[in-house]
Amino acid sequence: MTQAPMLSVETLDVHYGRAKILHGVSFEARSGEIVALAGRNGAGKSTTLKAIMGLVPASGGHIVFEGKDITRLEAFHIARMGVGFVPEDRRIFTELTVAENLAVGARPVTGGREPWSVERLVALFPNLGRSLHRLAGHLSGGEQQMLTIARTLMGNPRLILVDEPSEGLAPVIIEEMARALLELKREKLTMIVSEQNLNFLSAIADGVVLLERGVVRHIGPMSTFLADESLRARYLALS
Amino acid sequence: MTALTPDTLLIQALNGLASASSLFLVAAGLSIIFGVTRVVNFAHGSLYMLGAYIGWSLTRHLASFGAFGFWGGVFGAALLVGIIGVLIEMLILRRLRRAPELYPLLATFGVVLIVQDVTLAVWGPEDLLGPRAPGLTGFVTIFASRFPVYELFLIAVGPLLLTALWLLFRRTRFGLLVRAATQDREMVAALGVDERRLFSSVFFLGAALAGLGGALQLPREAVNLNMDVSVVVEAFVVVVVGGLGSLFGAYIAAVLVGIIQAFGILFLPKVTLVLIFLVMGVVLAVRPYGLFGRVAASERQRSPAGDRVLRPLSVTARVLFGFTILVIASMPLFAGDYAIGLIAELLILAVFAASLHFLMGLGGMASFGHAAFFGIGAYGAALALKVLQWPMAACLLAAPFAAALAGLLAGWLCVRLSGVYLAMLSLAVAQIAWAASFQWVEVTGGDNGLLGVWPAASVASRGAFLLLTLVVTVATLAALRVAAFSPFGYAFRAARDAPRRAEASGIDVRATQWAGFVIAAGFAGIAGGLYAFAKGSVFPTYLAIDKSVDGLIMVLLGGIGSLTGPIVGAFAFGGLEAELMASVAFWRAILGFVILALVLVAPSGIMGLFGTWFRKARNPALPA
Amino acid sequence: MIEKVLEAEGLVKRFQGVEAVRGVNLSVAAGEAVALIGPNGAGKTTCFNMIGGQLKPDAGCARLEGADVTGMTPRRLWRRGVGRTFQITAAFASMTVRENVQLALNAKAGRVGRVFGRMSAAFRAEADAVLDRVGMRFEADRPCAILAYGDLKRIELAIALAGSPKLLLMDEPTAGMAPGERVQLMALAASLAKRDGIAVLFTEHDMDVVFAHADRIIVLDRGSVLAEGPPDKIKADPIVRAVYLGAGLASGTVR
Repeated sequence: MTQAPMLSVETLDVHYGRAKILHGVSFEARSGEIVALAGRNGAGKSTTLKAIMGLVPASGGHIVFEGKDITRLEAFHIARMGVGFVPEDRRIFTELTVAENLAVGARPVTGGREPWSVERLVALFPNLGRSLHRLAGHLSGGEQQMLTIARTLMGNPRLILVDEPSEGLAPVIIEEMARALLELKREKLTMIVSEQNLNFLSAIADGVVLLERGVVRHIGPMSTFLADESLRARYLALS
Repeated sequence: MTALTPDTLLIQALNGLASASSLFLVAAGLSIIFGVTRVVNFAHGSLYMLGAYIGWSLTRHLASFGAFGFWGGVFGAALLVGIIGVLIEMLILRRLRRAPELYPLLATFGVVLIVQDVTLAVWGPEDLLGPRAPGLTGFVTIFASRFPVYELFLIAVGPLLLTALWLLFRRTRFGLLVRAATQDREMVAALGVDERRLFSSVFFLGAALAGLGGALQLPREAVNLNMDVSVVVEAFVVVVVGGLGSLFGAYIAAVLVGIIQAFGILFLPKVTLVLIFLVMGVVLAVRPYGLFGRVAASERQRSPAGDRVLRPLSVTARVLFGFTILVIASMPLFAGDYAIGLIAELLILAVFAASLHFLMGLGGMASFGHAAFFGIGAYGAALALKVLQWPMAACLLAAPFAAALAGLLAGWLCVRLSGVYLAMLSLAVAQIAWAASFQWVEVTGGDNGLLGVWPAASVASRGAFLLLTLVVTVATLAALRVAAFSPFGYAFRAARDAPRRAEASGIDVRATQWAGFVIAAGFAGIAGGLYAFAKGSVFPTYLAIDKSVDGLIMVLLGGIGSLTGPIVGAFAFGGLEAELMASVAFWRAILGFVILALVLVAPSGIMGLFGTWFRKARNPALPA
Repeated sequence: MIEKVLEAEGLVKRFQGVEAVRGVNLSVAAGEAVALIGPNGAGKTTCFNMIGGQLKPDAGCARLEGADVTGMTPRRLWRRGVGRTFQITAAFASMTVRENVQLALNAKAGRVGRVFGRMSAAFRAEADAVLDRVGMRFEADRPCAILAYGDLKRIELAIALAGSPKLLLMDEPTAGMAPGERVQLMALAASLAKRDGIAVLFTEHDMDVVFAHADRIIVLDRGSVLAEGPPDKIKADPIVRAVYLGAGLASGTVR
């Protein structure tokens, strides 16, 4: 594969106040790929995603999306270029209806592909179709997580950053989530998924970036990672 | 008392409805701006006042165009004020987006001061009479009374604008984005919405509403320089009573306030001021989130103190404090009367600021009405001296006692709430106390205050009084420090850090906060008692909102993260204010610019700035 | 007969007319770890908060060692020996690790009303002993605000243990932790419970944690108990698999 990566993160540094959270993080995601960001809580997975999205400022390094440097751009600008963000803790607009939540995310399609519509999303997440006019705050936890993804898709992104999609969800819902993400992969959507659930990752991800205390410890295909006993032990072990 | 005929009742009710409309416009703007930007815009009253003044000028210039000129002037004023609002947002508040919640508030207070002086400079100190509205100058006869047509028009404006705003928020994409951003603005930005443009347009809308409210008052009342603070305080009441974020609630509350005022003037002219705040207190005691408000479940609470661990004073700090105390104690030997008096006053302010810091910094309860306890302490001491003829020492003891007693009452109400609600309720409570001191002339002397509160002969000289003040100040500050490191102090902080955790670990959160409130009130009372003797007199201004805001500025300026912050803040701000007032005509504007500059340059306060410099000096690799 | 520390009978809670919990019975014995599992919205947290005193049940009762404690405030429950940890970790961020535990010990001794005397001197050794039990002794002087998430969870456990509880309520104790850490934290809690005879009730989504450390599992669905029993029986239950467990993708270790 010699094609240029869709996203490349180059020696990214992030500070929160005086604390350095990310130390020179570098990795790439190619078009149509699902890249897993793995690591324990506090390893810097969420911060990496937020920095790509422009929600936390990078103090060093570069983020290049489709050949353009987006390191210093505002979040809304990055979103308009085709990057979507699915936050952890299901940050839906609870006081708005499901349909209104989707409407907030709606943006015109960029790059000739079939745009997402409420109908297509309902086909992907059948539960949402039954609740379009209910307040989003009245949905169950699983449905809210689905809505967070659907809302982001309404912006017709080419890359989505998904933060801890399985956290706090029942096992059956996690399986549905994996199914939905694989469906999106078939739509040629590129994804970076931060996650701690290895089984979930093994079912969806092509490659894995292992973070530990803000430093990349390992990058490689998911299959190699799963086969390597010592790597897995390191991931599962406490440091 | 006026005769109670059905038509006087009706007329008063209509009057109330008419004044409710302008109030609703201001409150709606305040509520919308707070919802999206989380900025409590203290300058909203200034925008209202600017609307009236600009409207006055425009309608005069356009007077030759008749009705077109009048309405052109009114809407032109709203437009201009909207643009001023956008400028405030772009030049000041935008830069404070990542600062703690109270800093934008402080900045808007700086704007209030600047606008006051700018208005004074441009339009002069005289009240200005506005034009009548062409076509609406007549009267209708209701029963036997004549009622102005313009008032009827105003009555209709409220519901009309309510409907228009409702449609704007429910039927347009702008409204949808505003509602979404009210819940989670970061997420809205991540979905591709230009947050800055949204903020600016929200500020434009809110400011224009306030400007319109001000300009619409032209035919009703003379334009004057006191419109700003009085309307913003009423608008706070309306927003909080109606429920933050509920426009319908704001309208109902505006009507409630308007009617109470109209009937209050009729039946209880002596307590109209108290009445509004009393109603607010009752509403919030029964429905803590207002009539139509809901618990803001998604609100992410951030501790203003920024999770800093309290450490005992370092050796350097001890030496510095010791040195400062020595210098002040020896001042009578070399300093002049003015300097000695100023330092005594600053010491008293330090006690006041430290008591507020105890409540805000350790307890996480930002009070907008802390001056009430300062003032009650001052009145307590003065009354003990003048009425009870107690000796000075007993009067100084009576001060904290009176203030703590008031704190016991006020605290019971206030600790049930948190965040902005607590701030607004404490403001209301303070306004009740202020109104009482102002209107209860028999006891407090009203506007004339209580005079002749002179210290005992032994401390009558300025030098002796400074020493007394120094001793009390050091003892008080030391006591507050001891309390902060006591088990109670930790429980108090625990109640702020994680109330549910604290409750599940055997700490009675509400009782702890209540006790903390009473302690803070008592210590403010100590400062008030000393202040009464330092000045020789007590006035209602001691309890006024300006004084409370002074306290907030001192605490935030000094830096909320350390116990030393409020002391530094009191000296810096109090000293600056005293110097400016003594020597500069437009001291308010200068003070306003200084506040803005400090908030923009040093958002963690003076002590925070020092801390950063210090760390940087030791380790240059650290980022700012 | 085994002594039951906690017995709850017929717990009911309605929110705006909707029954979130409809008549749940459960009990936990001393030294026993019981897991409460079920889909999101099944009523686990509601149940938990009724037992922990954060919510008042509309019907039913809760008994602690035979005494009725229904509707008691968390504070009073704590005095009677109920410790709890929260799903969203909440330690006292403006204090050091040791101060967090010291404060809980002071509260236990009824000393938090004292305005005089430094807290740092009181119960210092006892606090260190509690921190030792959760392996945080060497972090005692660090500010809580800078702790890693996993360590914060242990501090919460330490605060709960400081009250020498008879019943420990843990709401999603391992949420947000890495797989290795999860198992370790729950192993720690379970071993402490076994050793000191503490009854543990916990909710959890990580089935590895549940199956490894629960003596008994209660499955909730739509506000009612769907199944109850030892891990092996629950694992094999076809209804539980359909409603909740699925095909097993969600467990943290590789099949």
